[in-house]
Amino acid sequence: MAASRKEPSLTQLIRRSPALDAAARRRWLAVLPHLTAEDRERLRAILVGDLAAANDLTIQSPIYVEAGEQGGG
Amino acid sequence: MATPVVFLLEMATRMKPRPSKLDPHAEARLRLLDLAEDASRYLRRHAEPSVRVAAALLLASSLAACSSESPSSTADIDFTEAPAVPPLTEEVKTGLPTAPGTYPVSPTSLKRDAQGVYDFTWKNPTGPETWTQSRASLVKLAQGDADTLEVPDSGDPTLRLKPDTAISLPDDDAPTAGPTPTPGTSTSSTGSSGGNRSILWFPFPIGGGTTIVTGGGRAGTGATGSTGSTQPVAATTPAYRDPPAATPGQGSVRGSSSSSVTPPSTSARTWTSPTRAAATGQAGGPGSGTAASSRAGSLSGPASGAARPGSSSFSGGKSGSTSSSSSSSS
Repeated sequence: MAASRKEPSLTQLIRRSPALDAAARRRWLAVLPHLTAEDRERLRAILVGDLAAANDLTIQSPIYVEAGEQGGG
Repeated sequence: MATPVVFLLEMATRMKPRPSKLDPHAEARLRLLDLAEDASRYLRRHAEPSVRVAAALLLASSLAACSSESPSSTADIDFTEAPAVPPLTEEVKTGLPTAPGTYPVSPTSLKRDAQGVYDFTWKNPTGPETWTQSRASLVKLAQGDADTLEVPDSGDPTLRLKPDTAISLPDDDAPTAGPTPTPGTSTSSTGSSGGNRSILWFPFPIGGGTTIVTGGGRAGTGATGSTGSTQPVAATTPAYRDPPAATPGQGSVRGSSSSSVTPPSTSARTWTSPTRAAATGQAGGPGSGTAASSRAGSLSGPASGAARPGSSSFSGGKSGSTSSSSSSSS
């Protein structure tokens, strides 16, 4: 499994976001491969910002990008 | 698949909630809803049906996430959004005969707008054949053998109508526009009655009947009635009557959702057409114009306007005021 320490993947962000319930997570994961690059960046910005605001995202607990992820940015 | 997506997009646009100050993720959910709307605009044209379905479901879940609030934050929710039909701020009474008496009324001129203001023409029985336009918000209705306007020495006038005489109710989705006409000023039939579709309201059931009412008005602004004992009101007895709810596509309604011998509140007199209810996402029917604020005011009982007249739970939002008159449709 190749992993990158650059940024958390969108898939991981969706799964960890406290702003999303289980149904919303499934919906976002379903459309994620079909989003435009611009919208993937918007989604990332929203989720990262929300996580940071909720203090759920810290430097001490990085999230790794999984290899072969579609649209994970 | 495009139709439900378009519908969801429209609903999302109209029903977009405001962020709760107590929910730290409300802002994120709103931004996610915006993103879901934007993404749905191109995903709904995707070649794969599964993607189109996924886009629709995403939009629905995003909207649901924004619409549902945690119980701890409901106190912070602003429910003061505009109701489907705002109640009158002032009673309307213009163009009525100045002298007590009985005046013929043109049955085809009878209208009642969403705020409960009657619009009709009458003529002097002895004078020239000239019809006079009038508007009044406090008008009693009673069944009679002819279509007439009875003006008493004091008190509100009574429209006495034949059972087969209908009052036209607007069925449009336009918001109630314009300022409330002030008493004594000449007004045209504009504002909430400006729609070009209508539903015919036959206030009296065929064969007459009675309506069980109480003397109480609705809990809320402008209630002028007082609580009283339940008493039967015959169709021939002048009373303040309100039309029952109509369903989409319904051409006419019969009967009254409520009848009162005392003037109901202005909010109780509002009537939301099915078209307007669909456009605003609020319940249609009588007295539903204050549904949102009633919920915010933690009134007990069923949400006003949510139940149909004639059902066991129908209250019309009134405090203790019930009706036994049945309504039917055609």
